[in-house]
This record gives sequence, structure tokens and C-alpha cells, in this order.
Amino acid sequence: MGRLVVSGVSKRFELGKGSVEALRQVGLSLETGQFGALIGPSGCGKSTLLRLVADIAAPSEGSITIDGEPPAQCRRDHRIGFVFQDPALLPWRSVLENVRLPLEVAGKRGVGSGHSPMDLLKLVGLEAFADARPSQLSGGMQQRAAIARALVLAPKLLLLDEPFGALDEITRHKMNLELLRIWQATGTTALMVTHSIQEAVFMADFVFVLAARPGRIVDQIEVGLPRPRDTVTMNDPAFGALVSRVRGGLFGEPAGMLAYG
Amino acid sequence: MTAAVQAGHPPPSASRLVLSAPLRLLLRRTGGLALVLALALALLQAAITLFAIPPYLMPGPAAILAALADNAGSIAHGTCFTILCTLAGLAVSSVISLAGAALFVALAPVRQAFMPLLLVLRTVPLIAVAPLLIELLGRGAGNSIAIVAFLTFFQIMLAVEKGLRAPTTSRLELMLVCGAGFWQTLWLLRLPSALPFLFTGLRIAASSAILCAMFAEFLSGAPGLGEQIIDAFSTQDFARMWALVIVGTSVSYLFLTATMVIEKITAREDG
Amino acid sequence: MSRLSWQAAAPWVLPSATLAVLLALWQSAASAGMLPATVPAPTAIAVELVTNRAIYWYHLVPTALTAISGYLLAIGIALAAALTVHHVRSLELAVLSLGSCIDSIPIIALAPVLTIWMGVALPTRITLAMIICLFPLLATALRGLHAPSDAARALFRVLAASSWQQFRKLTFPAALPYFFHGLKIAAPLAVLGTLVGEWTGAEQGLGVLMTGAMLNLEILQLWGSVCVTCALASLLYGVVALIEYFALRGRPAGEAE
Repeated sequence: MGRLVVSGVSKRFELGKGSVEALRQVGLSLETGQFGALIGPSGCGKSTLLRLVADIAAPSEGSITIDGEPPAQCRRDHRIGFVFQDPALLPWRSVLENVRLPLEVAGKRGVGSGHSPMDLLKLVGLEAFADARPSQLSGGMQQRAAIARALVLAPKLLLLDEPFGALDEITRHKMNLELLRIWQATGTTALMVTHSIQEAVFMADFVFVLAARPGRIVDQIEVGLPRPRDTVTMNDPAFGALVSRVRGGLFGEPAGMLAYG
Repeated sequence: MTAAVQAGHPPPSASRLVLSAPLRLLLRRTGGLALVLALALALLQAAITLFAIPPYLMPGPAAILAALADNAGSIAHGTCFTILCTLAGLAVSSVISLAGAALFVALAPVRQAFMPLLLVLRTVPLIAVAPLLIELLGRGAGNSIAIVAFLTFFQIMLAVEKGLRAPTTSRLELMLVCGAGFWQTLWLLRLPSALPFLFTGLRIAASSAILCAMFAEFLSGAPGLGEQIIDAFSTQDFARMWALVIVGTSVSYLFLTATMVIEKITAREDG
Repeated sequence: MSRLSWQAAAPWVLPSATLAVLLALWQSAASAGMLPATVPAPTAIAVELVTNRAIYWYHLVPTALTAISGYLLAIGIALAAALTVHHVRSLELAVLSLGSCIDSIPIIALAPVLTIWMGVALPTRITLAMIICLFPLLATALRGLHAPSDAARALFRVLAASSWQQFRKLTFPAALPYFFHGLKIAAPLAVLGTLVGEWTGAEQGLGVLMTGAMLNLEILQLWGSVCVTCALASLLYGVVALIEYFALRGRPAGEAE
């Protein structure tokens, strides 16, 4: 349930004069319940890759399967949850109504599956704000509501596009802890795009390092740190070594020179 | 694995002519107007030929253009009159707005007292007040200018007021730290910040400004385009009337274009 | 008065007081004979409105009905055009250009033209009122339909929402503030269009009353008809604003700015 395989995926965008190769021959895989992080400089195509997995766009080449099915099928079955950088809560609905949105859209097909919106609000710690309007919530709280919304239909795959990019470092770390807690409670496979090396290593089982122009994966790092992880984990020397390795992949030092362990 | 240094895109060819955005806007709109007019006249001729429309219902392009040529002098005269009255009215309106808005910034209670009244007056179709103003002010150019000024005042005032209050807290604090007083802040910071807003207000007021001027002429008989249109209408000289309508529409459109271009130029320079 | 109710009333107090003061100044200036004959005292205008209310009512009704008809017609056409353009994006440039062109024709020029084609009749005036409202309504409706953010649209795609679901749950509610903004702008314009139509030729209506008063130097009637016209425009605006208040209750302010 939620096994993601990306194989030989390329994506080209046609512009006025010529085309841009956003991704070239990208491949990765995540087993059910694993957490993957995509990290790379601007223009490396990580957000594009996420959108290909969510069937918001289609690859020029290659294949993507979720439990052996194409993303389009998974999306139409309402089994994908997506958290955008902008929480994109509808301002005319209350927080609870926003979380309920995927249920309404899925209609009868959504009945019986998934979690109750109120339970999810409790899970993300927003039950007191169920009837509030999004404008009354802080950025971090809005993003928590967006996460609850993404989980309401118990998706096979949870995709997050720099969900905490707009937050300050302190709030961001708290949100990371929250997200890990929520993710472990639901057991979904997750793939997150991030700019923060620390966040990538902290959250993921696998960190995929991308380079730009053309977008491609240059390193794949297995994060063997034990779960559940918390702030103390970041003091572990293994954590520091992994961060160095990711940094190396991003800034051009040969991988493997700074092996951990 | 090293992150390869990618070559950038080749520099743009130097032989391409680079036009600034405001200039492109001007050319696009003027060109569009010419195109639409040509198209409209062609369609008109086609419609007249196809449906045998009688000339009293709709004169053909030939007759309209002939009337335009025959009356070129008086039409040009009327156009200048209308445009000058409009410009003068807008200028008066802008000056009074700046003064009023500065007063609002200086004295908050004054703003609180008058702002809602201005907001209400902006929604009222003040052109309805034109007959009243003509009664009050008599006829002639001065009257036209006053009407344009009065009717555009509210829109421009609100825009300028917003502009004077536009500077961010950081910039205002900067002026404070430099030891600037109210007048210096007004001159060095608020007024320059307000200019783009002023031009936005002028753009919004522009089309109704020309309309106001033509209204004033229509009702008072001052020698502008508005008066000539009604004159042609009442003497049943429809070819001339249509020529005037086309000129009036083009003038209105080009006037609006000019304000849009100025707005773009001033907006660009605003940091 | 408790502190809280004073704070709530404060935004109203100062402007109302200012208005009252201005009216009082006007009244005293008139009583002192300082004003020209063309500017009567406010009390005189009030008296005129009350004594001749039958006349004003007689002319108010056709103007109001014409304006409202033109307004509703414009709303219908603008919505139809906006929704069509929303579905067939390639039409957008053509429709907007056409609307902008028609909007550029000064009403003063349009009125005689329509009178020639349609005669001096009620449909002419309704058409004038409709034309003057059309472009602002169309432009704001289109802006509203384009309002949803890219993230919101991507969200609905991920949710596998149908076109109808997306329209009902996202596009329509998002467009509403913009549309009301346009409705408020257009309401007084409808009155204006009617007025111009009446000035060009009609037997009944506030425009007729106004020009008649102007030509006959009936100062009080001129002021009276202008006041009634402005009141009509403000009333229409107020009704739309009230509907907007209830339709957009609970939503953050300033969405359509």
C-alpha cells in the first residue's frame, strides 16, 4: 500500500525558443510507509517531480507507479494527499469545512474510507479552531490544517512541497516534530521537497539529492537513524555526518568521502 | 560526484530592438485603435452594401470620411477645446487633491471627518450634478474646467490620499531617524510615493474626465466636441455626427492610453 | 455610553457631525443672504422636496425602473460572457477588446446614435443604461473567475474534482467578492446611463425634470431633482452593498482589492 517507483523520468518544458529540460532520467523508489526527502538547489526540478507523482503534470519520458498503478489512477481514486507551500485553505470555509473538502469532492466514493475530519483536527492539535476562519490562524496553524486535509481520505501517498518554507526556523522545527508524529500515526508513504538539509535528514528514511540544469538525482542517502526521532537526535554524530554528506552532494564534494559510521 | 557548472543561455542577440514597456503599450493600443477603426469602417461598408441600409439610418464610410474632411477645421478646433478643458480640469483637480490629501495626513481627525463623505460622494454619479453646476457657473470654458475638476476630484483625491499614506513603516522610520520633520517627510518621501497612485487615479478618472468635459459642452454649449455632436444631431447632419462620434471615441481612447502610458512610466521608476 | 459602544460609534460620529456642521454653515450663509440666487438654503430644498413630492415621485419611478432594468440586463449579459470566456479562453482577448472599445465610446456620443437607431423610446434608455454598466461588470467578473491561486487549482486537481465541483467549490466563491465590487461600481452608472438617455429625449424621468428645470431657471426644482437622483444612485448602491454584506459574511475584508 503506497509503494512508489519512479523510473527513467524526464520532463521537458517547451518555451518560446527551444525547450528546458527540467528533469533527466530520474529514478527513485520508496516502500510502503517510508519517508523520502527531495533536496536540491533552485531549478533542480524537485517540485516538478512531486507534481509528476501527483499527476498534476505528465512526464515526457519514463514511468511512475504507485502500487503498480499510474499516478492518474491513484489521483482519480482520491488516494493522493498533497500539501502545498501555500496552505491554500479556502477563506470562505471554516477550518473544519476545509478539512472536509476532499470528502465532499470524493462524494460517495469517499464514504467509509479515511478518518473523520474532527479526529484529524485533534491529531494536528487544532480541534479548538474547528469553526474558526483560516484568516484567524497563524501560518503554522494553517499548514497543520492543510496537512489534516491531505490526510482525511487516508491517502496511499502523502506529498509535501516545502510545507514549512514560509516559517521561521523555530516554528519549522516544531512543525517537523509534529509532522513526524502525525505521519507515524497514519503510516502513509511520504515524499517531501525541502530546502533545508537538516530538515531532510531529520525527517526522512531516504534523502534524494538533486542537481540542476538538467534536474537529476546525484546522490541517494539512506538515513539509518532510529525512530521515533526528536530534537535530541540532532545531537547524534551520525546526524551530523549525514548532513555533511548531503551538503557534499549539494555543493560538489565527492560523495562517499565523508562516510558515516 | 561534482556538481557540474552549467553553461548559461547565450546572450540575446544585440540586433533585436528592445522597446520599453510603456512604449510597447502605447504602440499596441494606438495600433489596436487604428485596426479596429479600419475594420469597423470596412464592416460598415459591407453591411450597407449587403443589407441596403438607407443613409439616414447609417451613413456609409465614404460619407463619414467626407464629412470628416469637410469639417476638419472645426472638428480639430473642438477636439483641442475639449482636450484642453479636460487637462486643465484634471490639473486643478490634482493640485486640490494633493493639498487636501496632505491636510488629511497632517491632521487625522480631519481625515476621519471627511473621508467617509468623500467615499459616499465617489459612488454618486456626479455627472448628474452637471446641470446644477452649469446653472451655478454659467457657460464657457471656465465652466467646463470647473465641472471636470469637480467631478474628477473625488476619485483623484482618494487615490492621492492612499498614495501619501503608502510609504512603509520602515521608510517612515528612516525619515524619523534622519531627523526629518513633517514637511520634509512629505516632500522627500510621501509625495514621490504618491505619484504612481496619482497617475493611477488619473487613469481611472481619465475616461470620465473627457466625458465630463463633453457633457458640460453638451449642456452649456461651450465650443467643444460634445456641443458639435449635439449640433450635428439636431441639424440631422448624420455624416458629420458620426465623424464626430468616431473622433470623440478615438480621443477618449487615446487620452486613456496616454494616462495608462504615463502610469506605467511612473510606476516603473518607483523603487 | 459604555466604552465599547463609543468605539463602535466613533467612525460614524465625526463624519456625521461634520456633515451636520457643513449643512448648518450652508443654512446660515443662505439666511444671511450671502449666497447667490442659484444656491438656495438646505431648508428651502427640503421644503421643495416635500411640497412637490408628487412631481418627484412621478419622475423618479420611470428613471428607477429604467436604471434597474438596464442594470439587471447588463448583469445577465456580463455573466454569460464571462462564463463563456472562462470556458473558451481563446475568446478572452476578443471579448475584452470589444468591451473596452464599446466602453470607450463616450455616452454623449452613444446616446444620439442609439436614438437614431432605436428612436426616442424606453428600450433606448434601457440599452444605454445597460451599455454603460456592461464593461465594468464584465471586467470584474473575469477578474474574479481568474482569482483562485495556482496552489488552490492544483489542490482541486489532486483531489480529482470534476469541473462542476471545481466551479461550485472554488471558482464561484472566490469570484464573489470581485463580482460584488463590480456590482457596486455599476449600480450608480446605470442611473447615469438612464439620465443621459432621458436628456437625449424622453417625456418622463428625473433627467427630463432636471433639464427642464435648468432651462426654465427653476432653481429649487433643479436642486431638488439633483438631490433625488443622487439619492436614487446611493440607494441602489446601498442595496447592493447590503446584499454583499450578507453574501460575504465571515470572509476576510479586502479580498477584491
